[in-house]
Amino acid sequence: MPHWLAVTIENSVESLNRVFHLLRQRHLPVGPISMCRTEDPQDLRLLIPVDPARVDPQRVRANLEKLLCVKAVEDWGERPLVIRDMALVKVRAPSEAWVEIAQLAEFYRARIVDVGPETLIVEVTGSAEKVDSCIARLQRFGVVEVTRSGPMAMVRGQAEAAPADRMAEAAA
Amino acid sequence: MDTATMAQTQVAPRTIRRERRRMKTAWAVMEALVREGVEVIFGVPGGASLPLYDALYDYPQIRHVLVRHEQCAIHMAEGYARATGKPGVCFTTSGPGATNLVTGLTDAMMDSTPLVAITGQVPTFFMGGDAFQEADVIGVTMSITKHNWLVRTPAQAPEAVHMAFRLATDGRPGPTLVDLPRDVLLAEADFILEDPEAFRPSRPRPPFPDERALRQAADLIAQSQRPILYVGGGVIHSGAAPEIRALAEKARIPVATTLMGLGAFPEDHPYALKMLGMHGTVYANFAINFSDLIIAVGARFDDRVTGKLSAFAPHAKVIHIDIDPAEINKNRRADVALIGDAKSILRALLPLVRPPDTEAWWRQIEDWRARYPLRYRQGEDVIKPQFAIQMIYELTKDYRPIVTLDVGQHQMWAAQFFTWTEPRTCITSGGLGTMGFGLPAAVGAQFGRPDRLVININGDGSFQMTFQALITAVEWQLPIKVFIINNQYLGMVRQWQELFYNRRYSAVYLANPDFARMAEAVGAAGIRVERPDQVEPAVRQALAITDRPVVVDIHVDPEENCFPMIPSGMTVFDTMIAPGVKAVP
Repeated sequence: MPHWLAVTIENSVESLNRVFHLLRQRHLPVGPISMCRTEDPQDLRLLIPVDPARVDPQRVRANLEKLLCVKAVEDWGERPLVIRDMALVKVRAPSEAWVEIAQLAEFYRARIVDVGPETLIVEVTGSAEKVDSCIARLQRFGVVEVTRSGPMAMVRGQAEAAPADRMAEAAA
Repeated sequence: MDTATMAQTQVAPRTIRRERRRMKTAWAVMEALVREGVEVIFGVPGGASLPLYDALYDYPQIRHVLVRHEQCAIHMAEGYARATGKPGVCFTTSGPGATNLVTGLTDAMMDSTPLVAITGQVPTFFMGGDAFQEADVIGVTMSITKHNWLVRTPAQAPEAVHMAFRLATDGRPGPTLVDLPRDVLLAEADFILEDPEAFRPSRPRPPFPDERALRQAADLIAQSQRPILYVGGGVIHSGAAPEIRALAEKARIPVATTLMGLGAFPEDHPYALKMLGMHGTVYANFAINFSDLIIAVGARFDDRVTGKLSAFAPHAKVIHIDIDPAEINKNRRADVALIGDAKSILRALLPLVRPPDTEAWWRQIEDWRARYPLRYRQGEDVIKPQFAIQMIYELTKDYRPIVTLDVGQHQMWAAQFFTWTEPRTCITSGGLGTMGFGLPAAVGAQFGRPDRLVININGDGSFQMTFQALITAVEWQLPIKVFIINNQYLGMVRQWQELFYNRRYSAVYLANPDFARMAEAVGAAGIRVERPDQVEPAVRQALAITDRPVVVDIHVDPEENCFPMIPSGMTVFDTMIAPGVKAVP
């Protein structure tokens, strides 16, 4: 289970550049980063997994907080989270395979969202493991292409404001 | 002696009124600089920054110091900042002008020096298209500034300039950069001119250490038997030297300083162990490595201090006081971390401190100090570099000079053989080790402190990296004294080749020009010194010249080595006090 840092930044190419530049420059060993939009179109949320055995999450956080484009860093390490990944999977599918693919999709609560002359696109949502597993099952039909959002996450049950607002309150 | 020979221009009283005025952006930038209290700017004009220089023409209260290379401008800004505590300012044009700042920005980032670089940029409609003299300055300087701003509209300009000043000194100081495209500089707009204090970066700040953390630190001090204060440049930035002294005296704790911390604790004090680290005193290094408690203040456990990190001070607990939360647990785990301004934290900590029993510890330290003093042997014929430096110190100390050092052997000898007693009097490139820093830094320091004697101790290698700064010093009749410790080698590299590369002297011999004549050629005074008995009269002669810079070229023993030395990546048990001779605890 990775230790998540939820980093809210300004939604711009420049601020993404600054964040990635910093992580690279400081050689901070972080895992694959996913990027989501939020309720505010001006914001982006980055989810950065950190392995505490390799780097102190507090150090990653302290470095990120130096950037002016970073609006908030939340350490979600110990909190209960809802984590969802989404994939679009293009599968080679002659018409005789459609039923079988549809049944498999049903099992994963996935949906077929495009039907082409030789391919289907399957949309699957869930934990990273579930999405992995679904893609693995589809392999035998021939997977042409996969795009994935990477994990999106939210803390369960909290009725507080979103991190950027809380941080602004704290600063005020 | 009268060192204040520079023309002093009266700085206009700071306008703090909020007012609305229509003007071109370049003028709004100048207004912002005036409101920030800028007295001097170091720079070189060029195509993209022409509008800025056009505006500068209308602001005679700000002096502009024309340099011969932008690297000189930024090192001057650094010297100014380090001597005064105020941010230094430099101007360059786009492209090559701006990229020539890279070394200085990195240097300022490493040594936490506050400065603001203002660069011209090609017009916005050319940007991204490889226009003439275009460089991606924001991208290039992203990791070597605390923050940088590309100003895309006139309205953003004053805010960017004010924020650049706020951020340069906010928290841990450092460099900032504002990139100004030419078309934006020329655009006319209605500006609201503000009080600089209206601009504050809104960044989360860690809370001031609570009572519990301070008590924990005080308890660790009370329980310690072998404590040591490890004092870095942060103490100077914070102005916490009096508090360091109070803590040392109250708890009878020895004090070792880093290169950047020299002057933060008076070295004529009995508790001073002088500089620690690779070329630090043996007793400072023994003391920190055998300590059971390190109180690190404004210091970052740099590899030049720790040597092999895993073997550094293995029995010590650590109290780490630093304003930058990202420094905590970076290199060495802290048992108690106190995040915040050193001065405020020490003030809060002092009343809680109970002196530990350090009798036995002091006996041990005095034994080390007696056994391993700094030493060299001066003969009759050849000048030993340490002798020259000690002589410079003895003959100038009554002036309380500000001393800039360049980088290399002379830097380490000066760190060792000067007795540093006052903050902001030792200005050198620590973290980056930038050869060429010292001479322009001396120029900047003299502009910041026209009332003080400014000395630059340089090497023959590093002097030649930014020699052009001397031309600027002549132009402004700055009475700085440049002492070149000339061994005709890139001495520190040669020393490493001698000790660790089987004396294979590869590319270290310098076929030098005659520096005294070079100095004369640009209008400075030049003095050449070749025998030990000439050193003292030469230094006295240099001190007597007050209407222009003086270069004293001191020819020293070419193969003298800098000891003590803990070779890179080794431990205190590998301390060399002479080739093949190790210090024994």
